[in-house]
Amino acid sequence: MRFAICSTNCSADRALLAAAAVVAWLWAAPLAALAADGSRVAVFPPVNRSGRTVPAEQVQAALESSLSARGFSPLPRAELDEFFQRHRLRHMGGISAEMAQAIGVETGVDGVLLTSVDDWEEVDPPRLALTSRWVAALPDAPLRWMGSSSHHGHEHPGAFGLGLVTSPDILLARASAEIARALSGSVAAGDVEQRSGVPRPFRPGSFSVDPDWAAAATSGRPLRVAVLPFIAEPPRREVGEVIASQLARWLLDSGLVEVLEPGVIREALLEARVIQEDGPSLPQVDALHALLDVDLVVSGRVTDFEATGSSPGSPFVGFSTRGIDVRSRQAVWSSFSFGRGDDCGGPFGVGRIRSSITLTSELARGVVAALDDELRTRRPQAAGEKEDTR
Amino acid sequence: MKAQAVLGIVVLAVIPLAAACAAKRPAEVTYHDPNMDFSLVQKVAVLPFENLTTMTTAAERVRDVFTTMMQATGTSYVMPPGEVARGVDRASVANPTAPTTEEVVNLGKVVGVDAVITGVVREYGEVRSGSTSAGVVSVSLQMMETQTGKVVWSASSTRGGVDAGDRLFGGGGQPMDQVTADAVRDLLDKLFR
Repeated sequence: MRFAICSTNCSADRALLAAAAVVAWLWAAPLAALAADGSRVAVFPPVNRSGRTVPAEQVQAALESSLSARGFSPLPRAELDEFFQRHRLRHMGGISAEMAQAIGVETGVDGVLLTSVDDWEEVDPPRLALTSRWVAALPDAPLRWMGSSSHHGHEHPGAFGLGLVTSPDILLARASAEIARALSGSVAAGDVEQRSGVPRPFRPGSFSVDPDWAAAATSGRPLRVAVLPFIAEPPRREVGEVIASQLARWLLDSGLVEVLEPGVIREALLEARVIQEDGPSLPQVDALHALLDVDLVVSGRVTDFEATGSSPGSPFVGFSTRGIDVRSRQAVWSSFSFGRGDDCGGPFGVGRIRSSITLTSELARGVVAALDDELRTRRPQAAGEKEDTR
Repeated sequence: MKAQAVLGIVVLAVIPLAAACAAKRPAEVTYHDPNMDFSLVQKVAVLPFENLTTMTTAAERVRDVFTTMMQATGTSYVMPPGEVARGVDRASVANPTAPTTEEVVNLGKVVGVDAVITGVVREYGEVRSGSTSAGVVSVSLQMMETQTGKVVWSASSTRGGVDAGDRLFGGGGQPMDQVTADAVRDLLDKLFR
């Protein structure tokens, strides 16, 4: 058919051909741009923080496949396993500075994709939440990107229940595609919505920042922040890491601070033999400062975490956050957040948050937004004070 | 005459009901040491609270909310819980929920605080009345100054529960987090009054 059009010389056919070429170019342009990147990535096996048995192999394969479709080139599994064996690497929840450099040199990857499965439920309605981060394969293991995708089988029921999802495999494909898309730099519509204002119910119920610290924090280099795992009561201690990772994600996204890779922090905690019972003590904060050159140590406690909630599909989450400034050795930022899935729900359950991880993410975003507001309001004052002194 | 008698009976019937309603929440007594200058209290350590409820994490939750909200008032600096735990360990406080006078003085020196706050969570959870349920919290706190270990302030607060409106119109009361925040706010109001 196309040859037939080409063989003719009429202007209408040429116009049709040009239009088809433009459409083809428009469709292919984004893919070409992403494929041109071709970053080599080591996709680490995911860490399970869901409290249930998770098909880690399947999740890793789905991520590799989605990344390949976006133009990345995942490191072959055999090569990755060989690296793990060579360095006796067993902890997949983070990467130390030494390992980040080694994997870059030995396998030629540009970065490492570390993933955690924060929520997983196979029984109807299925649930899935993945949180991934990209750590550059460089000596300091800089944390470059963090993203999260969480889905619930009943999040978009649609008319006559046509939008209900009953298989976790569908959610896995959806989540891995979203992670790959976000990582490749193409901003999804959902991400745009997330960057809008935080709804009032998800703002911290109680929030305080030391004004002197806030004024000082806005001048000079970006603060180096270590987010420690939050304290959570058994039986779900891993929830503390879920909340810490969501907070780290939004702190990184805000661009306010430099967030340290959790693997690097873990290495320092082990080296300093820091065991948190009620949060870090001041000598422990000093030790972290000496080892990591951090400016702020963030910790907290999980007070409530219910994935399903009292009524079906209404999770609730509560946590407190505390930031200790290493120079003044004082708690300079503290907040308490609590939210329910139906806090922002409209009629017929529209807008209700069904995933506990989405709710956690919203609450963490609320904390960071409150901090951001506080730092931004202090910024002009600090500038003004400087002008006055001049 | 007959109408007056009926009115009298109605009034007599209503008085006990009104008294019953008034007695629903007992008067919560607050103690302030008249010789204490509370503006001198600049650093405070909040010790772990005693838990008298069936919920194992109730004391930790209330302490956490109290610590954060007290810090948010900006009137005094609240020591981070990790540092308090280290101080308790170093000062060899046998029972951190009920320290002795000597232990309070010693803790004050170790942690470097002007006052220590202890507390008891007496009730935390859901109460049910007929088909209606609501969250309820009952907390009492004490502040001890670390120069002498003397109690300088003590107060209690109870918030939440099922009220007449909930019984009449159905529906539950406020969620636990709001009830806890209300109780803590009430205690802070009593402290800084």
